[in-house]
Amino acid sequence: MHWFISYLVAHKHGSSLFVTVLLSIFLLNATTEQQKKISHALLHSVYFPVLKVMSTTTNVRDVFNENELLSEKVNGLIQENARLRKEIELRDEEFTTKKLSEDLSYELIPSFVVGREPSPLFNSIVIDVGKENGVELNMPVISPFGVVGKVTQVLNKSSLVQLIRNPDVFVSVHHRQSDAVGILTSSGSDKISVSLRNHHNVAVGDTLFTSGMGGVYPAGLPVGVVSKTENGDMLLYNDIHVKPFVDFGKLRYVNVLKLNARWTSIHKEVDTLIKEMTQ
Amino acid sequence: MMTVLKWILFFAAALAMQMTVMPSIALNDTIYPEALLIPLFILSIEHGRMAGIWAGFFTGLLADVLRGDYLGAQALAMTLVGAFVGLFSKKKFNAGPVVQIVIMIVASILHDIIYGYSIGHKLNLIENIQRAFYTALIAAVLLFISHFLHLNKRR
Repeated sequence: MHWFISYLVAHKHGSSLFVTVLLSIFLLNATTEQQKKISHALLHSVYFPVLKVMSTTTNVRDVFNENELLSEKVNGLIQENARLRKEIELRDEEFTTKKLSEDLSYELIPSFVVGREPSPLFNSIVIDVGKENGVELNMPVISPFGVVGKVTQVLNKSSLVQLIRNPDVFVSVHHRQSDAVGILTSSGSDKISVSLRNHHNVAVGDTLFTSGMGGVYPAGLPVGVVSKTENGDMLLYNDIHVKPFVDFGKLRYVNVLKLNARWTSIHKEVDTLIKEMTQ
Repeated sequence: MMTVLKWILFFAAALAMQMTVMPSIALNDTIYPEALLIPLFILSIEHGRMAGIWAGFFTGLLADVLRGDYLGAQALAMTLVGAFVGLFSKKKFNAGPVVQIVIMIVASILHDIIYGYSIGHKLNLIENIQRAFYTALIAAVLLFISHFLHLNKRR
Protein backbone atom coordinates (compact mmCIF):
# COMPACT_ATOMS: atom_id res chain seq x y z
CA MET A 1 0.00 0.00 0.00
CA HIS A 2 2.81 2.30 0.98
CA TRP A 3 4.52 1.96 -2.38
CA PHE A 4 1.23 2.75 -4.13
CA ILE A 5 0.75 6.03 -2.23
CA SER A 6 4.40 6.90 -2.85
CA TYR A 7 3.87 6.23 -6.53
CA LEU A 8 0.76 8.45 -6.62
CA VAL A 9 2.59 11.31 -4.87
CA ALA A 10 5.56 10.96 -7.17
CA HIS A 11 3.36 10.99 -10.26
CA LYS A 12 0.61 13.26 -8.99
CA HIS A 13 -0.10 14.88 -12.36
CA GLY A 14 -0.41 11.60 -14.19
CA SER A 15 -2.44 9.94 -11.47
CA SER A 16 -4.77 12.96 -11.13
CA LEU A 17 -5.36 12.89 -14.86
CA PHE A 18 -5.89 9.14 -14.79
CA VAL A 19 -8.40 9.33 -11.93
CA THR A 20 -10.41 12.21 -13.39
CA VAL A 21 -10.50 10.72 -16.88
CA LEU A 22 -11.53 7.36 -15.43
CA LEU A 23 -14.30 8.99 -13.41
CA SER A 24 -15.50 10.92 -16.45
CA ILE A 25 -15.62 7.78 -18.58
CA PHE A 26 -17.44 5.95 -15.78
CA LEU A 27 -20.02 8.75 -15.61
CA LEU A 28 -20.41 8.79 -19.39
CA ASN A 29 -21.03 5.06 -19.48
CA ALA A 30 -23.48 5.03 -16.60
CA THR A 31 -27.15 4.37 -17.36
CA THR A 32 -29.58 7.29 -17.56
CA GLU A 33 -31.06 6.31 -14.21
CA GLN A 34 -27.63 6.21 -12.57
CA GLN A 35 -26.68 9.52 -14.16
CA LYS A 36 -29.85 11.11 -12.76
CA LYS A 37 -29.08 9.78 -9.29
CA ILE A 38 -25.48 11.03 -9.43
CA SER A 39 -26.58 14.45 -10.71
CA HIS A 40 -29.13 14.73 -7.93
CA ALA A 41 -26.58 13.72 -5.31
CA LEU A 42 -23.98 16.17 -6.64
CA LEU A 43 -26.44 19.04 -6.86
CA HIS A 44 -27.49 18.57 -3.26
CA SER A 45 -24.01 18.16 -1.85
CA VAL A 46 -20.88 19.49 -3.61
CA TYR A 47 -22.63 21.86 -5.95
CA PHE A 48 -25.37 23.09 -3.64
CA PRO A 49 -23.90 26.62 -3.14
CA VAL A 50 -23.32 26.94 -6.89
CA LEU A 51 -26.88 25.79 -7.54
CA LYS A 52 -28.12 28.47 -5.17
CA VAL A 53 -26.14 31.16 -7.00
CA MET A 54 -27.34 29.85 -10.36
CA SER A 55 -30.99 29.85 -9.35
CA THR A 56 -30.60 33.46 -8.18
CA THR A 57 -29.00 34.39 -11.51
CA THR A 58 -31.80 32.66 -13.39
CA ASN A 59 -34.35 34.53 -11.29
CA VAL A 60 -32.64 37.82 -12.11
CA ARG A 61 -32.66 36.91 -15.80
CA ASP A 62 -36.35 36.00 -15.53
CA VAL A 63 -37.02 39.38 -13.93
CA PHE A 64 -35.36 41.11 -16.90
CA ASN A 65 -37.36 39.00 -19.37
CA GLU A 66 -40.55 39.66 -17.46
CA ASN A 67 -39.76 43.37 -17.46
CA GLU A 68 -39.34 43.34 -21.24
CA LEU A 69 -42.58 41.43 -21.66
CA LEU A 70 -44.44 43.84 -19.40
CA SER A 71 -43.00 46.86 -21.25
CA GLU A 72 -44.33 45.42 -24.51
CA LYS A 73 -47.73 44.81 -22.91
CA VAL A 74 -47.82 48.35 -21.51
CA ASN A 75 -47.02 49.79 -24.94
CA GLY A 76 -49.81 47.72 -26.47
CA LEU A 77 -52.24 48.86 -23.78
CA ILE A 78 -51.27 52.53 -24.27
CA GLN A 79 -52.02 52.19 -27.99
CA GLU A 80 -55.31 50.44 -27.31
CA ASN A 81 -56.22 53.08 -24.73
CA ALA A 82 -55.55 55.88 -27.24
CA ARG A 83 -57.65 54.10 -29.87
CA LEU A 84 -60.55 53.58 -27.47
CA ARG A 85 -60.38 57.19 -26.28
CA LYS A 86 -60.60 58.37 -29.87
CA GLU A 87 -63.54 56.06 -30.47
CA ILE A 88 -65.33 57.39 -27.40
CA GLU A 89 -64.62 60.97 -28.47
CA LEU A 90 -66.04 60.31 -31.93
CA ARG A 91 -69.11 58.62 -30.46
CA ASP A 92 -69.62 61.57 -28.11
CA GLU A 93 -69.34 63.96 -31.04
CA GLU A 94 -71.77 61.87 -33.09
CA PHE A 95 -74.20 61.82 -30.17
CA THR A 96 -73.92 65.59 -29.66
CA THR A 97 -74.39 66.13 -33.40
CA LYS A 98 -77.51 64.00 -33.36
CA LYS A 99 -78.85 66.07 -30.49
CA LEU A 100 -77.81 69.26 -32.26
CA SER A 101 -79.64 68.29 -35.45
CA GLU A 102 -82.79 67.63 -33.41
CA ASP A 103 -82.45 71.03 -31.72
CA LEU A 104 -81.61 72.96 -34.86
CA SER A 105 -84.31 71.64 -37.19
CA TYR A 106 -81.94 72.03 -40.15
CA GLU A 107 -80.70 69.22 -42.27
CA LEU A 108 -77.08 68.40 -41.41
CA ILE A 109 -74.43 66.85 -43.63
CA PRO A 110 -72.00 65.08 -41.32
CA SER A 111 -68.37 65.01 -42.42
CA PHE A 112 -64.84 64.31 -41.30
CA VAL A 113 -62.00 66.81 -41.48
CA VAL A 114 -59.53 65.31 -43.95
CA GLY A 115 -57.03 68.13 -44.35
CA ARG A 116 -55.86 71.48 -43.17
CA GLU A 117 -53.09 73.97 -43.72
CA PRO A 118 -49.79 72.88 -42.23
CA SER A 119 -49.31 76.08 -40.21
CA PRO A 120 -50.32 76.08 -36.53
CA LEU A 121 -52.73 79.00 -37.11
CA PHE A 122 -54.47 77.44 -40.08
CA ASN A 123 -57.44 79.34 -41.48
CA SER A 124 -59.15 76.67 -43.52
CA ILE A 125 -59.89 72.96 -43.47
CA VAL A 126 -60.89 70.34 -46.04
CA ILE A 127 -63.88 68.12 -45.34
CA ASP A 128 -64.84 64.84 -47.02
CA VAL A 129 -68.22 65.90 -48.42
CA GLY A 130 -68.89 67.82 -51.63
CA LYS A 131 -71.37 68.39 -54.42
CA GLU A 132 -72.34 64.71 -54.46
CA ASN A 133 -73.51 65.05 -50.87
CA GLY A 134 -75.47 68.24 -51.51
CA VAL A 135 -72.89 70.72 -50.28
CA GLU A 136 -73.03 74.18 -51.88
CA LEU A 137 -71.03 77.36 -51.65
CA ASN A 138 -71.39 79.49 -48.50
CA MET A 139 -73.14 76.82 -46.48
CA PRO A 140 -72.41 77.26 -42.78
CA VAL A 141 -70.29 74.65 -41.06
CA ILE A 142 -70.75 73.89 -37.39
CA SER A 143 -69.36 71.47 -34.85
CA PRO A 144 -71.21 70.15 -31.79
CA PHE A 145 -69.67 73.06 -29.87
CA GLY A 146 -70.43 75.97 -32.16
CA VAL A 147 -69.77 77.75 -35.44
CA VAL A 148 -66.74 76.57 -37.42
CA GLY A 149 -66.91 78.61 -40.64
CA LYS A 150 -68.41 78.48 -44.12
CA VAL A 151 -67.86 76.51 -47.31
CA THR A 152 -65.82 78.51 -49.83
CA GLN A 153 -64.99 75.87 -52.44
CA VAL A 154 -66.92 72.78 -53.43
CA LEU A 155 -65.60 69.81 -55.35
CA ASN A 156 -67.42 66.57 -56.06
CA LYS A 157 -66.31 64.72 -52.94
CA SER A 158 -64.66 67.38 -50.80
CA SER A 159 -65.03 70.99 -49.80
CA LEU A 160 -62.88 73.78 -48.46
CA VAL A 161 -64.12 75.47 -45.31
CA GLN A 162 -62.90 78.90 -44.18
CA LEU A 163 -62.79 79.07 -40.41
CA ILE A 164 -64.24 81.99 -38.46
CA ARG A 165 -60.73 82.97 -37.48
CA ASN A 166 -59.90 83.62 -41.14
CA PRO A 167 -59.53 87.43 -41.63
CA ASP A 168 -61.73 87.15 -44.76
CA VAL A 169 -64.65 85.73 -42.82
CA PHE A 170 -67.04 88.09 -41.07
CA VAL A 171 -69.72 86.75 -38.78
CA SER A 172 -72.55 88.83 -37.45
CA VAL A 173 -72.88 88.08 -33.73
CA HIS A 174 -75.50 88.83 -31.16
CA HIS A 175 -75.02 89.56 -27.44
CA ARG A 176 -78.30 88.45 -25.92
CA GLN A 177 -77.99 90.22 -22.55
CA SER A 178 -77.61 93.67 -24.15
CA ASP A 179 -79.23 92.83 -27.50
CA ALA A 180 -76.13 94.25 -29.20
CA VAL A 181 -75.12 93.11 -32.67
CA GLY A 182 -71.62 93.37 -34.09
CA ILE A 183 -69.31 91.91 -36.71
CA LEU A 184 -66.81 89.33 -35.54
CA THR A 185 -63.44 89.87 -37.16
CA SER A 186 -60.04 88.24 -36.94
CA SER A 187 -56.67 89.87 -37.27
CA GLY A 188 -55.17 86.72 -38.71
CA SER A 189 -53.50 85.82 -35.46
CA ASP A 190 -55.27 84.01 -32.68
CA LYS A 191 -57.18 87.17 -31.79
CA ILE A 192 -60.88 87.20 -32.68
CA SER A 193 -62.83 90.27 -31.61
CA VAL A 194 -65.95 92.28 -32.10
CA SER A 195 -66.44 96.02 -31.63
CA LEU A 196 -69.55 96.98 -29.66
CA ARG A 197 -70.76 100.35 -28.45
CA ASN A 198 -69.45 100.93 -24.94
CA HIS A 199 -72.86 101.55 -23.42
CA HIS A 200 -73.67 97.88 -23.97
CA ASN A 201 -72.97 96.02 -20.81
CA VAL A 202 -70.77 93.16 -22.03
CA ALA A 203 -68.99 91.10 -19.37
CA VAL A 204 -66.28 88.48 -19.52
CA GLY A 205 -67.89 85.05 -19.73
CA ASP A 206 -70.93 86.15 -21.76
CA THR A 207 -71.80 84.01 -24.76
CA LEU A 208 -72.09 85.37 -28.27
CA PHE A 209 -74.45 83.80 -30.81
CA THR A 210 -74.92 84.27 -34.52
CA SER A 211 -77.40 87.06 -35.16
CA GLY A 212 -78.90 85.66 -38.33
CA MET A 213 -77.93 88.80 -40.22
CA GLY A 214 -75.39 88.64 -42.99
CA GLY A 215 -77.17 85.90 -44.85
CA VAL A 216 -74.89 82.95 -44.19
CA TYR A 217 -75.41 81.74 -40.61
CA PRO A 218 -78.85 81.22 -39.12
CA ALA A 219 -79.58 83.00 -35.82
CA GLY A 220 -78.82 81.42 -32.47
CA LEU A 221 -75.71 79.33 -33.17
CA PRO A 222 -73.15 79.61 -30.35
CA VAL A 223 -69.95 81.31 -31.52
CA GLY A 224 -67.78 81.90 -28.49
CA VAL A 225 -67.37 83.39 -25.08
CA VAL A 226 -66.17 86.88 -24.16
CA SER A 227 -62.63 86.52 -22.83
CA LYS A 228 -61.64 90.18 -22.41
CA THR A 229 -63.06 93.65 -22.91
CA GLU A 230 -60.96 96.77 -23.50
CA ASN A 231 -61.32 100.27 -24.86
CA GLY A 232 -61.26 100.23 -28.61
CA ASP A 233 -59.46 102.50 -31.06
CA MET A 234 -62.68 104.40 -31.60
CA LEU A 235 -63.88 106.46 -28.64
CA LEU A 236 -67.40 105.09 -28.34
CA TYR A 237 -66.57 101.44 -28.94
CA ASN A 238 -65.22 98.64 -26.80
CA ASP A 239 -63.03 95.92 -28.22
CA ILE A 240 -64.56 92.59 -27.12
CA HIS A 241 -62.19 89.62 -27.37
CA VAL A 242 -63.90 86.35 -28.14
CA LYS A 243 -62.71 82.84 -27.45
CA PRO A 244 -64.44 80.49 -29.93
CA PHE A 245 -66.18 77.45 -28.49
CA VAL A 246 -64.60 75.33 -31.18
CA ASP A 247 -61.05 74.15 -30.58
CA PHE A 248 -59.87 74.29 -34.20
CA GLY A 249 -56.74 72.26 -33.42
CA LYS A 250 -58.84 69.27 -32.33
CA LEU A 251 -61.46 69.51 -35.02
CA ARG A 252 -62.18 66.13 -36.62
CA TYR A 253 -65.92 65.91 -37.06
CA VAL A 254 -68.07 68.77 -38.44
CA ASN A 255 -71.52 69.26 -39.94
CA VAL A 256 -72.52 71.30 -42.92
CA LEU A 257 -75.87 73.03 -42.46
CA LYS A 258 -77.91 72.42 -45.58
CA LEU A 259 -78.95 76.04 -45.80
CA ASN A 260 -78.46 78.23 -48.82
CA ALA A 261 -77.20 81.73 -48.22
CA ARG A 262 -80.13 84.10 -48.25
CA TRP A 263 -78.47 86.56 -50.60
CA THR A 264 -78.54 83.92 -53.35
CA SER A 265 -82.29 84.46 -53.78
CA ILE A 266 -81.85 88.27 -53.53
CA HIS A 267 -79.12 88.08 -56.19
CA LYS A 268 -81.46 86.08 -58.44
CA GLU A 269 -84.23 88.65 -57.97
CA VAL A 270 -81.85 91.55 -58.68
CA ASP A 271 -80.57 89.74 -61.78
CA THR A 272 -84.15 89.20 -63.02
CA LEU A 273 -84.97 92.87 -62.41
CA ILE A 274 -81.87 94.01 -64.31
CA LYS A 275 -82.75 91.71 -67.21
CA GLU A 276 -86.34 93.06 -67.28
CA MET A 277 -85.06 96.64 -67.19
CA THR A 278 -82.60 96.10 -70.03
CA GLN A 279 -85.22 94.43 -72.18
CA MET B 1 -7.88 29.66 1.08
CA MET B 2 -8.49 33.13 -0.35
CA THR B 3 -7.02 32.02 -3.68
CA VAL B 4 -9.39 29.04 -3.83
CA LEU B 5 -12.33 31.30 -3.00
CA LYS B 6 -11.23 33.79 -5.64
CA TRP B 7 -11.15 31.07 -8.32
CA ILE B 8 -14.50 29.66 -7.24
CA LEU B 9 -15.95 33.13 -7.70
CA PHE B 10 -14.32 33.42 -11.13
CA PHE B 11 -15.79 30.12 -12.24
CA ALA B 12 -19.21 31.02 -10.83
CA ALA B 13 -19.12 34.33 -12.72
CA ALA B 14 -18.12 32.50 -15.91
CA LEU B 15 -20.96 30.01 -15.43
CA ALA B 16 -23.42 32.86 -14.89
CA MET B 17 -22.10 34.51 -18.07
CA GLN B 18 -22.42 31.24 -19.96
CA MET B 19 -26.07 31.04 -18.94
CA THR B 20 -27.02 34.67 -19.48
CA VAL B 21 -24.74 36.74 -21.71
CA MET B 22 -23.25 34.20 -24.10
CA PRO B 23 -26.48 33.05 -25.83
CA SER B 24 -27.28 36.68 -26.60
CA ILE B 25 -23.92 37.32 -28.30
CA ALA B 26 -24.03 34.11 -30.34
CA LEU B 27 -23.22 34.29 -34.05
CA ASN B 28 -25.82 32.50 -36.21
CA ASP B 29 -27.34 31.20 -32.96
CA THR B 30 -24.77 28.37 -32.82
CA ILE B 31 -21.35 29.94 -32.41
CA TYR B 32 -20.86 31.37 -28.98
CA PRO B 33 -17.84 31.49 -26.69
CA GLU B 34 -17.31 28.84 -24.01
CA ALA B 35 -17.09 31.16 -21.02
CA LEU B 36 -16.02 28.34 -18.67
CA LEU B 37 -12.86 27.73 -20.69
CA ILE B 38 -11.59 31.24 -19.96
CA PRO B 39 -11.07 30.94 -16.18
CA LEU B 40 -9.89 27.35 -16.67
CA PHE B 41 -7.28 28.55 -19.15
CA ILE B 42 -6.09 31.37 -16.87
CA LEU B 43 -6.01 29.07 -13.82
CA SER B 44 -4.01 26.39 -15.64
CA ILE B 45 -1.51 28.99 -16.89
CA GLU B 46 -1.17 30.54 -13.43
CA HIS B 47 -1.16 27.42 -11.23
CA GLY B 48 -0.09 24.55 -13.46
CA ARG B 49 -1.34 21.18 -14.62
CA MET B 50 -2.56 19.74 -11.31
CA ALA B 51 -4.87 22.69 -10.62
CA GLY B 52 -5.99 22.67 -14.27
CA ILE B 53 -6.94 18.96 -14.17
CA TRP B 54 -9.02 19.15 -10.99
CA ALA B 55 -10.59 22.51 -11.74
CA GLY B 56 -11.44 21.26 -15.25
CA PHE B 57 -12.97 18.09 -13.87
CA PHE B 58 -15.15 19.79 -11.26
CA THR B 59 -16.19 22.66 -13.52
CA GLY B 60 -17.00 20.30 -16.36
CA LEU B 61 -18.95 18.05 -14.01
CA LEU B 62 -20.92 21.06 -12.77
CA ALA B 63 -21.71 22.07 -16.37
CA ASP B 64 -22.84 18.48 -17.06
CA VAL B 65 -25.01 18.39 -13.96
CA LEU B 66 -26.63 21.71 -14.82
CA ARG B 67 -27.16 20.70 -18.44
CA GLY B 68 -28.78 17.49 -17.33
CA ASP B 69 -27.54 15.19 -20.11
CA TYR B 70 -24.30 13.44 -21.13
CA LEU B 71 -22.96 13.41 -17.56
CA GLY B 72 -19.16 13.22 -17.73
CA ALA B 73 -18.70 14.61 -21.26
CA GLN B 74 -17.83 18.17 -20.27
CA ALA B 75 -15.89 16.82 -17.27
CA LEU B 76 -13.71 14.71 -19.58
CA ALA B 77 -13.23 17.51 -22.12
CA MET B 78 -12.38 20.15 -19.57
CA THR B 79 -10.09 17.83 -17.58
CA LEU B 80 -8.03 17.15 -20.69
CA VAL B 81 -8.04 20.85 -21.63
CA GLY B 82 -6.86 21.73 -18.10
CA ALA B 83 -4.10 19.14 -18.39
CA PHE B 84 -3.10 20.42 -21.85
CA VAL B 85 -3.00 24.11 -20.91
CA GLY B 86 -1.18 23.21 -17.69
CA LEU B 87 1.75 22.07 -19.84
CA PHE B 88 2.32 25.75 -20.67
CA SER B 89 2.02 27.07 -17.12
CA LYS B 90 4.08 30.06 -16.08
CA LYS B 91 6.22 27.84 -13.85
CA LYS B 92 7.55 25.92 -16.83
CA PHE B 93 6.98 28.00 -19.90
CA ASN B 94 6.78 31.77 -19.89
CA ALA B 95 4.47 32.27 -22.86
CA GLY B 96 3.88 35.73 -24.30
CA PRO B 97 0.40 37.08 -24.99
CA VAL B 98 0.33 35.90 -28.63
CA VAL B 99 1.40 32.37 -27.70
CA GLN B 100 -1.21 32.35 -24.92
CA ILE B 101 -3.93 33.24 -27.41
CA VAL B 102 -2.74 30.48 -29.74
CA ILE B 103 -2.82 28.00 -26.82
CA MET B 104 -6.34 29.22 -26.00
CA ILE B 105 -7.49 28.60 -29.58
CA VAL B 106 -5.93 25.12 -29.67
CA ALA B 107 -7.40 24.32 -26.23
CA SER B 108 -10.84 25.43 -27.34
CA ILE B 109 -10.69 23.29 -30.51
CA LEU B 110 -9.45 20.35 -28.41
CA HIS B 111 -12.34 20.84 -26.00
CA ASP B 112 -14.90 20.85 -28.80
CA ILE B 113 -13.42 17.74 -30.40
CA ILE B 114 -13.35 15.75 -27.15
CA TYR B 115 -16.80 16.91 -26.10
CA GLY B 116 -18.27 16.21 -29.53
CA TYR B 117 -16.66 12.78 -29.61
CA SER B 118 -17.93 11.97 -26.09
CA ILE B 119 -21.54 12.74 -26.92
CA GLY B 120 -21.31 11.14 -30.35
CA HIS B 121 -21.66 14.30 -32.43
CA LYS B 122 -20.25 14.59 -35.91
CA LEU B 123 -17.09 16.71 -36.03
CA ASN B 124 -17.69 20.17 -37.53
CA LEU B 125 -14.20 21.60 -37.65
CA ILE B 126 -15.16 24.96 -39.20
CA GLU B 127 -17.72 25.65 -36.49
CA ASN B 128 -15.22 24.49 -33.84
CA ILE B 129 -12.55 26.84 -35.17
CA GLN B 130 -15.00 29.75 -35.28
CA ARG B 131 -16.06 29.08 -31.68
CA ALA B 132 -12.41 28.74 -30.64
CA PHE B 133 -11.53 32.11 -32.16
CA TYR B 134 -14.56 33.71 -30.55
CA THR B 135 -13.63 32.29 -27.13
CA ALA B 136 -10.02 33.38 -27.64
CA LEU B 137 -11.16 36.87 -28.54
CA ILE B 138 -13.18 37.20 -25.33
CA ALA B 139 -10.31 35.70 -23.33
CA ALA B 140 -7.85 38.12 -24.94
CA VAL B 141 -10.02 41.07 -23.93
CA LEU B 142 -10.23 39.78 -20.37
CA LEU B 143 -6.50 39.06 -20.23
CA PHE B 144 -5.76 42.53 -21.53
CA ILE B 145 -8.00 44.09 -18.87
CA SER B 146 -6.41 41.94 -16.13
CA HIS B 147 -2.90 42.82 -17.40
CA PHE B 148 -3.80 46.52 -17.41
CA LEU B 149 -5.22 46.31 -13.87
CA HIS B 150 -2.03 44.51 -12.70
CA LEU B 151 0.15 47.25 -14.14
CA ASN B 152 -1.87 49.94 -12.40
CA LYS B 153 -1.69 48.02 -9.13
CA ARG B 154 2.11 47.78 -9.34
CA ARG B 155 2.43 51.52 -9.99
